[in-house]
Amino acid sequence: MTWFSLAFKSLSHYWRSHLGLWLGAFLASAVLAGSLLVGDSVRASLKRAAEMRLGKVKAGLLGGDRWFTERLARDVGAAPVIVASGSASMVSGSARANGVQVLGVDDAFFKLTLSGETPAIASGEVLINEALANRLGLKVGDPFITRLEKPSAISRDAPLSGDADEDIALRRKVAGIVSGENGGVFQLQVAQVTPPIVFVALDDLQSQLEMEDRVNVMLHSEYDGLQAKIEAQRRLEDFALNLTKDEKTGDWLLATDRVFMDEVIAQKLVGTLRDYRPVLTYLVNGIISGKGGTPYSMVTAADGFGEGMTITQWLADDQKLQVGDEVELRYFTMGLGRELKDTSAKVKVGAIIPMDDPRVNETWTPKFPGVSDAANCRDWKPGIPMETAKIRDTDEKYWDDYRTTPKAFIPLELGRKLWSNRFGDLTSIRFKAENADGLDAMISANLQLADIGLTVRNLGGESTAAAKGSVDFGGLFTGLSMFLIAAALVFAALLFLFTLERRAGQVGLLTAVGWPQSMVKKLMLGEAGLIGFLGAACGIPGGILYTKLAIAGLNGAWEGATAGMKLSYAAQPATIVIAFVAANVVMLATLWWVSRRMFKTPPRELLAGGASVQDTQARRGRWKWVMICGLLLAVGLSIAAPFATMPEAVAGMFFGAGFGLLLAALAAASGWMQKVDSSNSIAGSLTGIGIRNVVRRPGRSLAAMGMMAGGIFLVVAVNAFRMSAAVDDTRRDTGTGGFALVGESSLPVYEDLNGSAGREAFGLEDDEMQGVRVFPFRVREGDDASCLNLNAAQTPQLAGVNAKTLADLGAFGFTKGNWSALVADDDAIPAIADMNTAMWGLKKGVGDTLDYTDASGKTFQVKLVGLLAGSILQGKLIIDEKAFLARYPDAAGYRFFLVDAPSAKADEVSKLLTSQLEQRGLALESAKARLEAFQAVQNTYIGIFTVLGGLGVLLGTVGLGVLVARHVLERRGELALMQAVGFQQGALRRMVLGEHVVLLVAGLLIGFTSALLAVWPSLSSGRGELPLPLLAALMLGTFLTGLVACATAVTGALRGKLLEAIRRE
Amino acid sequence: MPLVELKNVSKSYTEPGRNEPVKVLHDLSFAIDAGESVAIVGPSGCGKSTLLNLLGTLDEPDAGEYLFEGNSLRGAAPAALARLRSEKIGFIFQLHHLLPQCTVLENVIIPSLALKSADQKATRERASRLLKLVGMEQRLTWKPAQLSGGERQRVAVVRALINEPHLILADEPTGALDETNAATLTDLLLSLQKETGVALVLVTHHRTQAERMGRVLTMHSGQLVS
Repeated sequence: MTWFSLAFKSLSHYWRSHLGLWLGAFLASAVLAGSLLVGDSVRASLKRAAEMRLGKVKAGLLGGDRWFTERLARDVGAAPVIVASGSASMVSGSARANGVQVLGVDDAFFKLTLSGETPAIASGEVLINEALANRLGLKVGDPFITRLEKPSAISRDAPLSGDADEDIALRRKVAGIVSGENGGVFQLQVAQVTPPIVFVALDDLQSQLEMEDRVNVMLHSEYDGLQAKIEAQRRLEDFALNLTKDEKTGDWLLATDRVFMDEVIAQKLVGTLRDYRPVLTYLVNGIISGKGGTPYSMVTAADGFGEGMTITQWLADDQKLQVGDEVELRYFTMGLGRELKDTSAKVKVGAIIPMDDPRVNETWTPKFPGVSDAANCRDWKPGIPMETAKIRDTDEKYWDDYRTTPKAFIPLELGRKLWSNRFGDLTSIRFKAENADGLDAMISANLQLADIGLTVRNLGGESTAAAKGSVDFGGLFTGLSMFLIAAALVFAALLFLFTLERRAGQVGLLTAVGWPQSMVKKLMLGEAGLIGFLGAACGIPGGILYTKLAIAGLNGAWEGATAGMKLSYAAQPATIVIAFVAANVVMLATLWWVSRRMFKTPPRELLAGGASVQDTQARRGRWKWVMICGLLLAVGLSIAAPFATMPEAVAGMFFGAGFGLLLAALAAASGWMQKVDSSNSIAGSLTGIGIRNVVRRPGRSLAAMGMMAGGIFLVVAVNAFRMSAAVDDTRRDTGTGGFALVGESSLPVYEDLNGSAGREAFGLEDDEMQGVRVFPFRVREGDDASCLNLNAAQTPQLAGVNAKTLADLGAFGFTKGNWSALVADDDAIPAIADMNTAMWGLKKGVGDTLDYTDASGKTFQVKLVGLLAGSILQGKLIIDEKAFLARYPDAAGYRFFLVDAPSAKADEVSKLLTSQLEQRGLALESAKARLEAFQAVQNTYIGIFTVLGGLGVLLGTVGLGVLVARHVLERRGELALMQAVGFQQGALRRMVLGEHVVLLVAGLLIGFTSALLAVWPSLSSGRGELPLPLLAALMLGTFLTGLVACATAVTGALRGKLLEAIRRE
Repeated sequence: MPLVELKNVSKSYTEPGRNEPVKVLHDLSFAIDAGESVAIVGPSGCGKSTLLNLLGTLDEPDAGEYLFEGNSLRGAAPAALARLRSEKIGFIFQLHHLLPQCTVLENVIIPSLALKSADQKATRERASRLLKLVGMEQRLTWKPAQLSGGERQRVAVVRALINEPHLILADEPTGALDETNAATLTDLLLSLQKETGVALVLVTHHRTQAERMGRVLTMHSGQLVS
């Protein structure tokens, strides 16, 4: 025989006693495995969603507002795609969907989807996804209208970028509804909400957008080596550069479709070209002299024309100008957005050149949208305010004869000083070349698409990383189930201890006959470990069931925690092994911990049956200090809490106060029991004897009370952290920032909605907009890092705002920093994020940085300098607008808005703006509703904890029943004696039951009172965020379960003839 | 050299809820030789069991010295004391403390499991032989619950002898038995003691049982009075 076979024999002998231990191990293992498998399921669901989202796409060149040739995509074996934003509406206008993703695709795209099927799109038709079909109620064959913005080669914010309002409307019939496997959930951003999608035939969309042979996205199934392949195939046109020859001068000139040449491209070009001459041509509002004025003229800045301003003969004749005359150039310069400043500069005429001078030609002027193609001057739409009345017949004549030929030339340095802007300071470069052969290749040799931000993104890798999830749901659910796991462990430990106490003599004997203590421990814990092993093993199927129930909850009542994402069950074998091993380790550690005092008990005491541990004198006096400290904590925090400003701080302080009260009450109960135990008063009645019994084992009584009180307190008090937007949401320091509305637009809004011009553009009357102020944000597309996205955001959305306006308003509460911190003080761009976004979505804190790529392909860092307390700005990194524009000069217009409006007219303003900016696809909602949507996630977590914790409390109550049974069984002899001396069995049963019900009620009252203090702010606010019915059901359920458990235990333990017990003694 | 020797040994206990320690043994000195049989008698609470616990190294003296085969046990590590008990001391308690999950034979060989050097086969043979000596050869595979009180205590006696100890400590081994069984067990103990040459220390309330030992030590209030 070995210790192991002895352990096995003991196991089979005491199997009934071990049932409780088995049950505890089963529950702990089931809950632990179940919780971890929830994590597996969430990850698998996210992975599956990511696979559906991208299909076979692993890499992408995302141009955004930079367009390249379709040929380039095809040459590298990629799918050319147009990705644009827009809105969709029924022809009748009865329903509208904003935030629609318009995709220009062909078969190459569909081959990259999971199914690889290539649906046909006939002329006049489009495909849509289920999200759009559901939103608008569209069926195959239904016509509808898709609106999107015609892309501009240059930022709409740029001067001379043409008319901002160039939308197109496509009226098409639904050819089919694309399934998720066939690209129906395709999107480039890591988000879990599928946008409505319209699939337009690529050539159709190119034609409508007037972007023939151009696309802004290419998608590929391989990432490795794609950038090199692309760089090997790119041509000048992929940089939006065009090479032409000025036949009059023989110069070659390199211009850009984007009007202003990218700085980095210009720098590289001048390093390559021979005998080059940079050129900057600008549209001035007027050339004024003392002798007259000429409106709206092109003026070119280039070297080689001498000092001062060289004017054409036409201009000299127009104003009778002579060399030496001073003229004033009047022009617009740009501020933020489309803000234009009327500016002027004076310059002297240095020379006059005849109109037949070969240099006088229109090749100096780039193609200005809205200008170059106009039939006459009065039809110009340059995107700047024009006073057409100033245009004279002579000007129209000049336009007819010379089109965009500059009327004057100034030195390049002066031109740059006057007209350089964030989009560039050159419009073309002129150079000499012997012949045209190989010129394209020679020029582009030093250029790389990466220089203009066209870098291949590892979409597959990003997607995989994102699918790991922003929140470890396995860990989260383990945390939320911790109380239930702890209750199972306590339950198991309690029963193990009882079994061990019954076998104290065996422990004593083995020690006495010379077994080393370690061997005795090994025997006893090994035996328990075998039971735990069996329980944990059986717990695994239980865990799978638990996971399925939890997933059903997360797909149903708890869907707030997953922001509506539908989860499906999945399990990794490694997770099951981890859960099994962890459950065994935790169980063994718990059993070792609770039994360690038993093994330290001298064998003589164990042999004499004295396994219970008595409190020491020092421990007995400790209750006073605990009570005083607990009371001080409760009173101190209760007084201090109202002075805290942040809701979380107030909740935390009241939670602390409640905990202090719990400690104080339990300590007081302990003190009372000790006092009664040591008093010399005579117990003169059954009640008196009952009280004596309650205090006889103060440790055990306190444990029973503490278990109840602690459980109730924890489960109820955690609800103090429920969030509510219902605190005065007009206050600036709340999560709404005091704003009434928040929203996004599908297409950028370029106009200033606070200015008269902007309001006029959208037909917003001043009286309707009285008291209304719009705070617009520029948006750089990125991942949603809010708690409404379970994916781990890789590159969160950047939003640029005029921080001073928010600072002046004192908008939003901060846990760290403030708006003034957005002023850059080092290389990294300072950013502010919502605390939840930083902590959970990004796992970052103040001082941490994130890498971004700017418009020219350079990596820059964004540094967190402040955290907003639970706000509607979740999911974004907020930076100052100036810093935003410095990195993304092309990012035109605003797409995110906070609207300040009087509460009384918020709905009216919302309807007005939504209606008037319909073509921009503006969707607004109340800031309070947005905040509540974010808060619903945390509140759902608390709800889950309350339910799972409640189950833990109920399990603890059953444990109390076991404790009672054990206690009564120990006392059968003395109860028999009482019956022998004349007490009725019924009276004895009532006495014993009463003793334990007192403990149960005391525990519940202590827990409830302490919890009441903890949730007082929520309760007193009357906002109703506390789940009172659930908490009341929990209290009642605990009381009734406890009552039934105690009654069952007492009845079971006192069953049979008590007097038999005394006879045996 | 005596087998065991106590020199000026004292022992006190502090009871729960009381500050003052209660002195149980006072300045106790005596020796027991190998193969000797000694009875310890005295009224309840006089310190008999405490003395037996000290002799069995289940407790240690507050003062004085305990020598086992000439070696002082002062400061000995718990593991060393456990080994000493395993190799050289056998215990018989008032209650048999048999493990209900084990058979008679298994119960007897349990002390040998602590001896790494023990030859399990030889131990089993020795256990069978000893059980035959006490008339339990037909009960080897029985469980304690199937035995009478006297039989259980006989098994406990054999268990105490299994590791061939030098000293057997018996704490009122017949206390839970009727008169006939008590007399039988006493006979058995003495015959085994003579046969094996082991020293026997027996705590008892029964004067007649005590007088069958080679020497009787009488205790009163923690001191030897004769």
